[in-house]
Amino acid sequence: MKKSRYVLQKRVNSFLCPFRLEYSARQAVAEGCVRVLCYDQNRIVLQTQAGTVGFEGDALRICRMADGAAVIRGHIATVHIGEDTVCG
Amino acid sequence: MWLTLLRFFYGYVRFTAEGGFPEQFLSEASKGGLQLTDTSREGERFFASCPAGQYRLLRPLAKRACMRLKIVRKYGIYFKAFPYRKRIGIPIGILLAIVLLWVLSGRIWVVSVQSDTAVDEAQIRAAAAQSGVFVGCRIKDVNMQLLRIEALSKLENLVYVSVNPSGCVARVAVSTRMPTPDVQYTAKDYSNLVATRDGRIVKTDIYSGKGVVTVGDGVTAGTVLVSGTVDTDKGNLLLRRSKGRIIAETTHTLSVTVPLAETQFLPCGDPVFRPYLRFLGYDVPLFSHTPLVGRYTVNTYLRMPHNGEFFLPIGIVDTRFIPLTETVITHTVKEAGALAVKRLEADIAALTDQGVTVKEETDRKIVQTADRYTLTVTLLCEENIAKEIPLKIIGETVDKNG
Repeated sequence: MKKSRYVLQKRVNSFLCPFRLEYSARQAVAEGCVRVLCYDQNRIVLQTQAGTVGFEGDALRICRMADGAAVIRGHIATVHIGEDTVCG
Repeated sequence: MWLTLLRFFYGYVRFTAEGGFPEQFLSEASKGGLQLTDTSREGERFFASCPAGQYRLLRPLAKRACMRLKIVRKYGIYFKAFPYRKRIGIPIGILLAIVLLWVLSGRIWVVSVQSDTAVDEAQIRAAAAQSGVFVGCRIKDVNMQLLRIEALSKLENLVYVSVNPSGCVARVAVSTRMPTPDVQYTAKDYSNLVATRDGRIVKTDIYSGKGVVTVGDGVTAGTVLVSGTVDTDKGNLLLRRSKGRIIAETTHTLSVTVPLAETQFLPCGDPVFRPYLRFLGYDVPLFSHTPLVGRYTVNTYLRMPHNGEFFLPIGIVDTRFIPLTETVITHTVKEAGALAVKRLEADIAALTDQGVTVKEETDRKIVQTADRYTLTVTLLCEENIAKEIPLKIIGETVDKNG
């Protein structure tokens, strides 16, 4: 499998939208999560303070979730950032 | 690795949750500050790990999310030690081990003397103990300079002393002084060699002095064998220290008497055990001080753990007092004869140890009375009968230097 690394950082206004996301093909770290909307092996959707973020892939699991930060591991194929997500 | 160790120390629980809404459960746990790690979902089952102390807090969250929790695995030192919670000796032993290690780690356990000398090891240990190096002393309190000065002043044969602490072992290394050469002759030592026993001379080895007897001569005890006064050709008289070996044929008469009824102190009854706990050189009695009455023989056994070279400074000294009672033993004539022969052989062995060569047994006499058995043996021997006797010089008319 190709081990290319993609990093997406979206931080516009840390006061209004304290959402930060880093992800690669193996792991994603999302800060500012409010709740989990969907948790499955193939799909994880997180509700953040800025909107919804979805991960699709295989063998996905939330490795750690505390203090609003979620560490997601597995084979991440795609990341969906919701239309209503506030991004700069 | 550190995280695993930390988890093992605090205790972790791996659990599964079935049914309901795992998303809600996960969200509320995160909101409540509970740390869920290694979550995964396999079909309808949801797996996660949490600290053991937080598992109880998850139950109301699971109830609200319509989920049922079940522990899969308990992990940590608390759960490992839980089956032994009623064995009070284990925590006491661990506590005692920690205290002992803490107390003993800074002290000397073993004093090892490394010496290639003829100086008695006990003397070196005693000198080291007086200077502050003994079992139980603190390592940092040892004054090396003082020890060197004091030990060298007390043991004149030593030229070098050093204490090398190696862990809890104090290795005392010593070196001896080279001995001064033995001076063979001093002007003041003038002597004769005289006979100590009656006998017939069979060999003479004279190193110094003038021989008075020759091979074949018969001498009695006190006869001068080698004289320290030597005449010169000029008629002067020289004084010398006589040295030599005069081997003579002598006779020894050994007699052994065995009473047919004799009284001996023999072990009788159960031994009395009086153990001590030896710790860092101190003996703590583990018995009540009841005075012992009568006669006892004492046997002491050291039961201290060791590795073949060093003994640990803690252990049991097992002292056994075996009571002795006065017992009358009656021998038959045959038994008395055998016992007399046995004791006679011991006497002959002692004679041989003194340098006497036994050549043959010339006579054996047995005297048997109503109450005793006497065996008398006459031995023909060879031995050095010369004994050095200093000369008494009366007046100063003798030319000492020739």
